[in-house]
Amino acid sequence: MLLFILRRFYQTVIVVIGVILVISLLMASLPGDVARMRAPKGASEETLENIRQKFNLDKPWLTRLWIYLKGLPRLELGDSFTYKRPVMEIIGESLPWSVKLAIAAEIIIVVFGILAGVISAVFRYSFLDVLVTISTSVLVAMPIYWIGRLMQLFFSQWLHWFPPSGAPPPGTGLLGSIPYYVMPATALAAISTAYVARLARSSMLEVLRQDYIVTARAKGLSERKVIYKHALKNGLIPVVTYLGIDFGVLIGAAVLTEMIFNWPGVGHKLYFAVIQRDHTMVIGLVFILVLIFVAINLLVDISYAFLDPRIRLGEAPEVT
Amino acid sequence: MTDRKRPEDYLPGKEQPEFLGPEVEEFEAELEKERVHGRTALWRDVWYRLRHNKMAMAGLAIIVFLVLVALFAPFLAPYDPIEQVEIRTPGGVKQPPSGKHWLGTDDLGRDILSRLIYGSRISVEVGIVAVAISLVLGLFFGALAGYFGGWADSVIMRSADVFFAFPTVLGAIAIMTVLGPGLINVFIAIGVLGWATIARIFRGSILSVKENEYVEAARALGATHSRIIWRHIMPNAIQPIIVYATMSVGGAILAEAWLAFLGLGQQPPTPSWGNMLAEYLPFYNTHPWMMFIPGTAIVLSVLAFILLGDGLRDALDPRLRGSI
Repeated sequence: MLLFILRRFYQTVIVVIGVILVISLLMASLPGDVARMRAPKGASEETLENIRQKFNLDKPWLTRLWIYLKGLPRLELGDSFTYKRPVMEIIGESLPWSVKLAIAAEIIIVVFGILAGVISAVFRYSFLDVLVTISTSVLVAMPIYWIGRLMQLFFSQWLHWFPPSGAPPPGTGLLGSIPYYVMPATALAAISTAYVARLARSSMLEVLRQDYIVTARAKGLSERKVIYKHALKNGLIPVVTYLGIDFGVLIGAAVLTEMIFNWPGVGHKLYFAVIQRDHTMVIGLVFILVLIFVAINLLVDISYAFLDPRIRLGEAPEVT
Repeated sequence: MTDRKRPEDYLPGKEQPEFLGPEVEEFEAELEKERVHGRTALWRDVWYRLRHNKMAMAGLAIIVFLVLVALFAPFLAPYDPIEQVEIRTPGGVKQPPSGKHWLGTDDLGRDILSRLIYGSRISVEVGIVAVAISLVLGLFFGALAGYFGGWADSVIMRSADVFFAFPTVLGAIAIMTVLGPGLINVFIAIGVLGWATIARIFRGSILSVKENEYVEAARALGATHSRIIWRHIMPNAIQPIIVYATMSVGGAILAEAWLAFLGLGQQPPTPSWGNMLAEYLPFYNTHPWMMFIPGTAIVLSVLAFILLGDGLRDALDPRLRGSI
């Protein structure tokens, strides 16, 4: 067990070093005259030169690369030039909103994804199965920001069920803020829910074919017991692993949904940074989000090892 | 995997040929014949099962239609996709569908159908070029890692891990930030981000194939590394790649759509489905039908590749043989 955790840690450290290297390369190669973008309009050549010196822009490419390489492990990400504030500060303000939305989305993914997948597998080829298969395929094929707009059109514009966009205003109680979460969280969860449902279905079908299920049925157990006591535990193992990887999909989706729903999270900030060509901010946000993704995957893998003895003992094949 | 028969004369009990000089070539030629024969049989089998999968055939039909539309766009489009045909007509912009403009006109008085038809070209291009880039990089590095192992394997797989650390949207945003917006850079960003998964899948299937006896036999005959990889391992290791690549084409079309939404894709006025959807999105509450047109086109074509990929996976899976 300890060996597994150590090995996983070592892998993560290598990945983080790689990520730092890649991000430094990107930062050092950013296009455009950053000094001119930061300076007020009509600034003199002298001011520009000062800005260049301040942000090391006058140094050669390799020197800059080295400066970023030294700074990144200490999370020195520089200033956003649209906000004129350190990128880390902006992340600190917006991250809690994204985390709350992600938790809401994760609940939807787990509940609806697994439910749909298991129903679909147990009642294979039934109307419900066909419905789940078709709707998950269509969801996966939809641009996520379009899903968001469609929801706004149907549930807000036409049906007036939920507020069209925005986070709950300050002072709203837990119950009162739920309507604000429903649409953005559902849009954020849509694609992952579809993936989880498809995965749960195929993995349940795989398990239901196995000998021990036949044995359980032969013993005369009720179908309910066979499925919930015997099949579900093993059938959901791939789903649990996937949830870690899926967090990456969720982060990406957040960039596109938070903007549509005007949600004050990191994705929203990233969207505007991209639109306004605030390059320092873009790369800084990407860096932090990638680190979070890597950390979550590490946690998922370790907790997963506790659950599955085969992984602990290093017998199971590498999870792809 | 198919179990290839060996030429009769290689079987024990028969006179063993001496593997020297011309005999080696003869044997290889014999193997080659067997290989080609085996492959056609396999693919005939796959095609047979695919043909009976209604969903997959629907997907294939949509894909063929999409490619034809893209190829013959200039002959099919009733108007110029960029010309603002109706800009001066009173009430000419954001017209609902009519006999004159089958899918209506957009906010700049351009014919939406013509834009949709020309936009299909971008989707097809992104799908083909981006996936081709991923395939070339992924197959090369995957083969290197899986076949040679050792430090090449470690270096390649650890770099792949770094790529996996970047969720696709973030990776694409980061690359596009440095390269700048534009279609060519979309190809590069999506293509480069896709290599790691393909390399990992290909490496895995090479590892499982390379221990087979026929590979050992080829090696004993003195075949070169590249010959062993491309002639003997590839045909058996490629199947999961075919499925993945098919689905990736859909993924690339989708990626073009969200990159356009971020203002990083094909720059206007040239129409792409992505920038059309992004452009029509703000009118969702006043003219909702506008966003449905490029949106539906994207969903249908991505769906087509997913369905075909699903069908191919089932058709290629030997365990599912006979269970259509």
